[in-house]
Amino acid sequence: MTLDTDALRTLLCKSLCQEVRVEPRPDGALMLRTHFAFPDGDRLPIHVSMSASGGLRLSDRGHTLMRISYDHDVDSFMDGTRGMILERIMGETGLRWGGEGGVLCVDTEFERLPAAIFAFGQALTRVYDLTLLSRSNVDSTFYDDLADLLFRYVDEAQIERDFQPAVPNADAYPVDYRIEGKSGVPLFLFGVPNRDKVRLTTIVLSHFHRHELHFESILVFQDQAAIPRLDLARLSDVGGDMISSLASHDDLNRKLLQRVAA
Amino acid sequence: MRFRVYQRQNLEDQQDFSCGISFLPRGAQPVTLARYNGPSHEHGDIAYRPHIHRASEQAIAAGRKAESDATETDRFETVDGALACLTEDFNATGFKVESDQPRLKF
Repeated sequence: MTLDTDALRTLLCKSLCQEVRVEPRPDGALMLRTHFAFPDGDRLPIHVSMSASGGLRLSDRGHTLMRISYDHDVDSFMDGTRGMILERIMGETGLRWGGEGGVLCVDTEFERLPAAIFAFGQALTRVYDLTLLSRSNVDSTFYDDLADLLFRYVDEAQIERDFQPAVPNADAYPVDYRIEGKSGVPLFLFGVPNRDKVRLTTIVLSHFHRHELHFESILVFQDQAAIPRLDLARLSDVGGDMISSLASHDDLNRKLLQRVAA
Repeated sequence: MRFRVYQRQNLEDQQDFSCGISFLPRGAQPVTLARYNGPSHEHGDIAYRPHIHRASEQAIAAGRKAESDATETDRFETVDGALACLTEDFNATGFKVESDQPRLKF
């Protein structure tokens, strides 16, 4: 059976013309209707307007980032590896930020609108697919899980969050949790989900030692095995007990019982 | 068991808001149980109307996002109204909510 290319051309022309179209939303906003959709079936809202240069602007009016924020911390989403990939996507696709509100947009000449539609839809899909790099949503539950464990083992009255000890520039050296320790020696507990926090904790503990602060420390990792060896070595020089992951909650309980005031 | 409720209002587009509830299993990805969306976008045949996504066994079994299926609604028109519907549907307490006034039909 041979392919009827004429029929195919006619079909494409007719159906694409019908299904890809400009239409006003009930509130008057001018929208470009396409079949681009997010994984939950919601179509990409593509707003059409005149650009400053007299061409056309296609914009998501901030919807993509808002959607990402449902399950992810947007600030950390824009950092590290995902931030670099996002910059690359924007460079490759012509996507740009449209102002301050997290709006993603692309400007195009009238004649290039068809190509811009596909490029914009594809670009937003690539941006949203950064959520498949799951560290941001895994990190977002680590601190909650750590808090749950800690408050299960230690009386809330003995715990102070985001503690700032009596050292110079204390606000730059916060402690995740200060716990009343035995014999008046406070126990500082740090949650360590990633390499950045390893390095920060190393700096914080070094600062405390430099100013001869008297304390003990417990460092609870999300996954100690994932931390580069040198970063871990530097932290172990200044830190106290380490818990390799939240799965080792019996060990955490044991070490807390050894140090926490009754 | 832990759950998360969130509200989002897009300041660039008043029609674009969402209120959702997710189940947070330990050591696994969150599962969106429901999301109450404003009329900023289309979903299937729902053309710029508020709609509610709900997780379903069929969607999960088919390998789609759990909350892929959505139905149109006239129960809310604002993000606060969406939260009121969510708390009612999921019997969630401790929230200060205000339902949207039903639109009068002429």
